[in-house]
This record gives sequence, structure tokens and C-alpha cells, in this order.
Amino acid sequence: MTTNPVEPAGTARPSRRGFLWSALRGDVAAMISVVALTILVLVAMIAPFFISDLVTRQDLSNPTAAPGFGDGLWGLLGTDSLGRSVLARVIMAARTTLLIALCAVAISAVAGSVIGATVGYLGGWPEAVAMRVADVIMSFPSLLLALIVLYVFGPQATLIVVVLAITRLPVYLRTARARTRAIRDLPYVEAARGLGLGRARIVVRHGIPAVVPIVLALVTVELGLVMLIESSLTFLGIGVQPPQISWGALAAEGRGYLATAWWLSFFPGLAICLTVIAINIVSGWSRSVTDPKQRWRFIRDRAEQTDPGTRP
Amino acid sequence: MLALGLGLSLVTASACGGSSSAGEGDGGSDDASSVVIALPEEPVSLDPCDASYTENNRVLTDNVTEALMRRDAETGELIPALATEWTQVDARTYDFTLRDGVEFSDGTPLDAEAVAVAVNRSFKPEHECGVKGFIFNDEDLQATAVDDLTVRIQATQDDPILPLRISFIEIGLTDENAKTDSPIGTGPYVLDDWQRRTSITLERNPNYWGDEPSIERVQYVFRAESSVRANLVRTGDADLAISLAPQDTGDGTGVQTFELAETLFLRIDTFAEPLNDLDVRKAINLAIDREGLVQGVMQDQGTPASQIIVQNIGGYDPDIEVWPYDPEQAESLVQGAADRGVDVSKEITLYTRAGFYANSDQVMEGVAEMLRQIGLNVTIQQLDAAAWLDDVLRQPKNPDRVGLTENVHGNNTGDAVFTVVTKYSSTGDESTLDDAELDSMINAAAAATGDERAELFREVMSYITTDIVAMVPIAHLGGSLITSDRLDYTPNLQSADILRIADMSVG
Amino acid sequence: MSFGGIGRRVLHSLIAFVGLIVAVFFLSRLTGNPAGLYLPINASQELRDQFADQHGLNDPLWQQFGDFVGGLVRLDFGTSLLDGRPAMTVVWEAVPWTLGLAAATMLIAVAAAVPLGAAAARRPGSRLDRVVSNLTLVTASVPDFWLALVAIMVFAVNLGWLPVAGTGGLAYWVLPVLVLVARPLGVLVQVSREALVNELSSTYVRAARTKGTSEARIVNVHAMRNAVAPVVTVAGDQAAAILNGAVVIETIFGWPGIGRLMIDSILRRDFSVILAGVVTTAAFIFVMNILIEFVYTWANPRLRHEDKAAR
Repeated sequence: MTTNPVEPAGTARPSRRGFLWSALRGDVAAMISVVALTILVLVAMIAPFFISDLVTRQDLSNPTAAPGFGDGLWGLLGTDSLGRSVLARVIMAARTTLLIALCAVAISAVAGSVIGATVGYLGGWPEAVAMRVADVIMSFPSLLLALIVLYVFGPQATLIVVVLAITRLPVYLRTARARTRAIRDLPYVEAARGLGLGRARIVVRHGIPAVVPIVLALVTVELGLVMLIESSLTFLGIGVQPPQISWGALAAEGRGYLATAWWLSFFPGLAICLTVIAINIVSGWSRSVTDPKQRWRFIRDRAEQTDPGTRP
Repeated sequence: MLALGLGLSLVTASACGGSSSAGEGDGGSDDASSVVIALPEEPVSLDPCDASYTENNRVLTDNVTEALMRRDAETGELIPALATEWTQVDARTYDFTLRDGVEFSDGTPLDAEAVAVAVNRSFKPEHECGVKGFIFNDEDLQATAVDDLTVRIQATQDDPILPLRISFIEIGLTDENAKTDSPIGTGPYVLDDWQRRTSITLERNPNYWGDEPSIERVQYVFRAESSVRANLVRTGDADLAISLAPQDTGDGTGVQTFELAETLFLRIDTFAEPLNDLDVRKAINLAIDREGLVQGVMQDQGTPASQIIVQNIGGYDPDIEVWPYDPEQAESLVQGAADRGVDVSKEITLYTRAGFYANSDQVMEGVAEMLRQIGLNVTIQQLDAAAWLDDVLRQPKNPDRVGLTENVHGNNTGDAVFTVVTKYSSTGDESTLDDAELDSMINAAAAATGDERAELFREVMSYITTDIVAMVPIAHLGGSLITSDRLDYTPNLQSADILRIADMSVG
Repeated sequence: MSFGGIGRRVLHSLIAFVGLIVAVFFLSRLTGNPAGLYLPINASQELRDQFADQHGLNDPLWQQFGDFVGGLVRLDFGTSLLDGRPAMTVVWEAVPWTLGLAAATMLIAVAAAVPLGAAAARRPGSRLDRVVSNLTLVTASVPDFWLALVAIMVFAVNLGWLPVAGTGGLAYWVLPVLVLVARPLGVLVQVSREALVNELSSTYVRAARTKGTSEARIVNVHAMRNAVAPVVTVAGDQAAAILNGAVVIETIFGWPGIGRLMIDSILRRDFSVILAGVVTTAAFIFVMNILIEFVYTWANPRLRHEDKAAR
């Protein structure tokens, strides 16, 4: 591994918060992403109280108006076939999209890491069983599985969350188990065992804290991924059902108008795109900050690009 | 694997005659008298007795198979086809004289025996034939050969419109005890090939008894998306595409818009509070901006409707006016109902069918919002076709439901009985009503003939629409199709259901 | 060559495959009366009873499961509601379309990704390297249905260069493949870059460098050979992802592959075909996983070594 200028371990770290802040300030893309995501979450939380009327307000005399400044702020992204503001609908849809992704990721992260940490500590047959089940879920064609489940039980928002949570659960399970196994035989855990602490308490006291940071890093990547899966399912008509709207639903709605009103599909899709890019930037950044060894794929920070160590 | 995939695609390409490697087609099929038609859905069955389903009908009727009579597209009047004349024996019996010298496409002569078999098999319950369910409800027919060219058809009950119903029975050379996927008919075309989920090919029938049609070969391809169908014609990969959404008509080149005999309406669960209140039902009708929906969402593919049937059907009442759009009055009606103790806050479900017609989802969203504006608590539940049909439409009196059900009614038979019995008599398969007075009106009308019949059905229609307000008529739907430069075709009222290749020509 | 490790992984994949089949069976039984899944929704009660009788739906569950597995072994999933043919026949007609799409996509993705990754790896921090990094970020974040819609909008609707959808000549392959290529391309470029950067900083490359071997030779021969394993592994994963995820692209482009078939069957409630489709797709992914294991073990000397050590 090459040397990394952002050195998290000990040396240049007065306080964790201060360090995070300085690391963030050093990375423009991550900075912008964090700010954008914060705004998005705030808007998604607050906006519905102000614009719920605009989302459904129709103007049949002004259907599929092109984006522009002619119709004021809410006409900025154009109107749909019922003359409703696309901007208002994209904002409203953000809430469903984010809520589903957050719930699914939260459930799978918590359940996955608890199970993973437990079986990692216990070892033996519970571990073997859990790992095989994880294998099974991982090798499922997950989109097709979701199709079957939603077909058999009918599409409902809660079911979508459950399906997404289950399909992504093995990722956390494996990670948590590996981490717990690694610390199981460390001296302080041995000592805890020697003191007569019960298994459950050891898992809670030592297993979970060791697992949390690494799971948190995973959560960000997964968030983007889950948003993409949800939007695909919804686009196919087996995810979020009308009149509920998510970004995927809006994009699907506009599909029939591709030739005449491209903005109906374009902007909701763009919203997904930008959000997931921002999430991935933040996730890459947080990885590079918290664990240089795990820093793969998505982002190179500016400092590294001029790092002479990686030059041939 | 790649080679395999490409090989397959080339086979399809040559079959389509698609020479356009970059989408800049140079006039479709190479063969001058061979055409490609893009349909929205593939037939489910090509058995003649299933022709009553639209997707089967378009391919079969008047192309591969024919009936004893045809119906004039505009007037609905019966025209001789395989039968040259028919005479009434009694209230439930007719004799049909068959056209002499007609042969099935395999050379078998058309005789009374073959027709009797074709009719009788349509009513065998195990075949679950479309024509039995759609046209005859629970009525049963028995056909017998009187002599070589005379067939007698008898119904189990008196039926003043028996010949009209019989015009829906497509005659094929068929096995009495089995259904078929390779129909043999008397029509101007014969089935050449059916590549499931890909295409159906018809070829000209050299033995056809009538005038030889100008087109030699027809290939049907199936594309669910309206935009894709339209573009197949624009790139020259097809000559005709039907059922275009208004936004896919482009600059209008090659596009023809025409009226359909189809009406969009909402069924009302008249037994459930608050829909059991007449004022609430009136309010719902007043709340809907039909003009706005037709212009804005349907982009003028259609006209606001005052009733469930179209003008040329006997029983259409021209005196019924389209409900005006008056949300203020609607709101005060709802308020008034609330003051009388009607629970108007109860949740009303609007059951819609996904992808029913062009932009149907948007139309229904628009309707739901209009109803919310007048203070009703309306939510949409979108269902796929199967669930919509079986869970909602065919369970009309489910007491647990407080619903409005989106429906499109197509009736191009010329007679209102096909509409009224199923939808409004107390025993109708789709009827939410239990109205003894209406039942006797319907029975009287169904038993009458001629002008009296039309008059009685007008009364029925007026009673349903304005006296008891049992439904919400929204719009008569329009259709549009696109043809390539070289194909000539003039659509008519039947074109959504029957696409006669013999009416087309290439130039 | 160690087959112990492979054997173990094949076994795991097999367990996963069996698990899928068990799960699918019990999912379909969870709805209460599975006859409702297999029959047209407007089937009469007699027909439902008759079906239940015929297919042993009144038998004990374990016996039903036995019959189900028996059917699977004979590749008998029942008949399609839509056209009355065996469900497996219908699925097999769709398979070549999806496989063709996946094969064309992966060929192009690998052929483009490896040189790009190598070029980026030779000069980390260069403009090319940054472009490659951002490309990966974007392709990992774009919903594929949106990419497809935008591609149709631009290339088919506005420019009119390519057909909107459907099947036919080569032109019909361009947009679906182009859209599908994006994600594997992004991932593979990054993986090959990462693998090569690691290799280039390894001791033996340094040794080769001090011996005066040309840089091109180092990258193309020494490093590349050792970077094969991760690239192939990830390429396999991506191919499996396409088999699974092609449903979206096939739906948009009217491609008659398995994914489209599944959606159509769901809309038409053709459960036999849905079942046959899922099991077939899972079988392909299963085979793919095994192939990946073989290639990975074969191409990765270190792993072979570890396997021995582990035993």
C-alpha cells in the first residue's frame, strides 16, 4: 500500500472532531457533497409542510410546459401532463426515496452487524449456518427475487424496505463477523472472559464497539446502492406505488413522454444521480479518512494525486 | 454466446425486412406487397372462438376467419358474409343460408355441418371460449345442419338480437373437442407462422371466395410501448402502428386520428356510504373537468362523454348533456350531504388499471385530485389488469369496498343491451346496482325491437345517468394510428378491434 | 493446483443454489393456496380444486416439496398460462438474448477497461487517471434506467441515429449494450488500475526495474499477468449482475430476454414461467460463480499457496 498523506492514526490528531473537520476542509468535492446532502435531507424533511399543495395542484391549461423561467420558481423544471410543478414533485419525492433507503439500510446494518458479531464470537455451527445463509442471499439474483416477493405479496412500501434490507444484510453480516473474529482472541477480550463476563455481555461490550466504525463506513456505500435498487424496482412498476411518489416513480411516469416532454423523466433521474454521486464521494472520503487500507475505488484526494510515492 | 445472439438478431432482421442499419429506413419491407403491422399486444389465442378478445380479434377477424354476417362499421347494420340470408323461425330460432362455393383455406368446402360444429364447440364450457362469455353471457346456442347449405341456430331463451350476437361467432374448420392454435378459416388470409412472443405472419389465401386483396403478406409484431410502435413506422420497419398515445403522434405525418366506440367512465359503489348518497354522486360528476382532461392529458384524442355508449348505438340519448365542470356547486353538495349526516370523510378508493389506455394513469390522477378538491377523501389504488378484473370489476357488490372503479366500455355492436345488462341490471356481472324498477325497464327494452327498442333503451340510459346517477361518464376515447408512405388505410369506428387487411393497399 | 479450496467453494455455491430453490418453494406456499398463483386469476373454484388435486397441493408439505424438486430435476415447471407451452421452453427461447447481451457487454467492457486502467496505473495522478476515477464514480451512481432513457432521448429521438427499441439488425444492439457497458466499464477500469498499481509497487517489479527492463514491458507482461485474477473475478461478478439486472434494460429496449420475460410474466400472472426464469437465472449465476472460482484460483498463485497453507 502506498503511503497516505491523510494519516489518521495518532500522530496528527489533536481531537477526532477537529481532524474530521480539517480533512473535510481539505477536500472540496467531499465538502460540497456533505453540504448538498445536508440541504437535501433538510429540504426533504421540511418542504412537504410548505409544498404539499403544489405537488398535487393541477393546471390542465398548462400541461407539459417546458422548463424555464416563464412560470416562476415552480415552473423552473417544467410541468407534467396535468400541469403540476415538476420541481415540487421532485422535492416531494425525495422524502420517499430517502426514507426507504435509510430504513432499509438501518435495518440491514443493525440486524446484520448484531448477527455477524454474535456468530463471529460464538463460532461453531451458528457461524457456519449464518455464513451459508448469507451465501444463499448473496447468490440470489436479488432483483428477480424482489420481483417474486413483491409479486407474491403485492407491492407495499414496508415490503420494499424489508426486501431491500434482507438482500443487503449479508454485507454487514460478513463484515461484522470478520471483525469480531479478529478481536475474539485479543488479550482484553480474553481478559473479559477470564473475569467471567457472559457471552452476551462480551459481544455487547467488545464486539459491537469494534464493529461499529467499519459498519458505518459501509453504510454510506450501501445507501447509494439501495437507492439505485429501489428506483429500479419502482421504475419497473413493482416498487413504490402511486399516488406515493419517489424519484424512480416520477422517472417511470415520464417515460411515455420521452419524445415530447423529456424533463419529466430527466430531472428525477438526475436527482437520483447527483444524490448517489454525493453519497459515494462522502463515502469514499470517509473511508480514506478512517481507514487508509480500505480506501479503494471511488475517490482520490488531491494530495494523493501529487504523491510522489505512487509515481513510477 | 455473442455469435448466437447476433445470429438470432439477423434472422429477425431479415424477417422484418429491416434494412435500416442506422435507423434511416428506406421504406420498410423490400417486398412490394408485404407489410408489417405493429400491435400493442400479442394474441393470447388464435382459436376462432376466442376472437372476442381484442388482441385476438385484430389478427383473426375478417382476415383469417369470417362470421356468418359482418357489421357495418358506421351503422352497425348486418351485412351478409358467409351467410347470404337469414330468416327468423321463432323468437329464439333462425335459419341461415350459406354462401355457395366457399371453401376453407385447406380446400374443405364450407357446409352446414362445419358451421354447426364451429358454433356448438364455442359453447362447450371446457373450452372457456371468449365469445361465450363476452357476447352470450349465460345464453346457450344449439346449431344443426338442416341441409347442405342451411344451418339452424336456436337459443335457449327468446332473443330479439340473436343474429347480431351470431355475427360475433367466427367460423373455423375446427375440432369439436379441442382448441387450436392454427386456425383454418375462410378469410382472405391464412396463418403462415406464429413465432410466440415475436411475430405472426399471414399469407394471402389463394382459395378466397371474395375479391383478391392487394396485400400478399402481413407480419404482425408486438410492441407494448406506443413510442416504439410509432418509431417502427417512422424508421420504415413497419407500415402500420395502432393505438398511439397523443404525445407520440409527432408532427402528425402519416397519423390519422379517429373515434373509437369506447367510453371511459367510473363505476360507483352505490351501496356504500358516502357513495350511496345521490348528492355526493352528483358532486363527483360536477367536480370533474372533462374538457380539461380531454384537452390537457388526452391532447384531444377523445371527447367529453355524457353517457357510457357512443352516438351510433341504438339507445344513445342525445338529450343527456355532458356534466358541467362546477367545483363550487360540487363542494356545496358535499357539504350539504355532510350536514345531513352523511360521512363524507370516509376513504373512497379509486381503483385504476395500469396502462389501460394512452396516459390513463395521468387521467386518473387528475380525477382523484379533482375529487379531493371538493372535499372527498379519495386515494388511488392501481392494479394490474388481472387483479383489476377479478378482484374488483367482477366482484361488483363487495360490501367491504367504498370504491370508484375506472373502466373503459367498448360497444360497437349497435345495440345497448350489451352495455346495460352486464353493467346495470341487478344480476349483471359488473353491476353495483339493485334496482327493481331499472331491471324491469331493461327487460322491457331487451325484449323490444326496432324503434321501440331504441326508445326504451334511451329511457334506460337517461335513468341511469341522470335520475340515479349510477356512474361517472368521462370521455369517449379517440384512437390514432400511423401509416408509412406506401400504405393506404382509412380507419373507422371498428379499427380498434378489427383490422381488415383487405381494406388496406400498398402503393 | 489446489482443488480443495475450489471444491469447498463449489459446495458453498451449491448450498446457496439449493437454498434458493427451497426459499422459492416456500415463498410460493406462503400465499396460502398456490393454485391461485398458477391459474388465471378468473379461474373458477372447480378449476382451482381440480388443479390442487392434480398437483397434490392437498398433500403434506414435505411430499409437495419432493414433487417440486422432482419436477425441477426433470426441468418441469408446468406450462405457461399465456400460451400453454412448457415454461422451460419459453424461458429457453429468451436465454440466448440475455446471454448475448451480457457477452457483448462484458467483451466490450473488458477490452476497453484493461488498457484504460493500465494507462491510468502507469501515471497515477495524471489527467487520465483523474478522468478514470471520476468515470468510475459516475457510472457507479447513475441509475441504468435513466442512462437508457437519456441515451434513447439523445441518440434515437433527437439525432435519429439508432432505433428506439426492439430487435433487428446490429443497430438494435448498440444502445442496450452501450448502456449496460457503463457500470462494468467503470468498475473494471478501477479494478485493473488498482491491481496494476499494487503490482507495480511490488518487490519483483522493482527488481525488474532495477535490471533495466522497459517500463512498457513491465506493465504489459509482468504486472498485467498478475493483475488478471482480480480483473477476471470482478468481470465475472459484473456479468452475473447483468444477468440479474438486465430486466430493466430489456424492459426499456423491448429486448426479448429473460428479464423482459419475467416482467411480462408477472404482469400476466404466469407463475410457472416466473419460477422457471428465476431458477434458470440462478443456475447461470451459480455456474458463473464456479467459473470465477476456477479462474481466480488458477490465476492467483498466492491464493493457491494460501489454500495449501490453510489445509
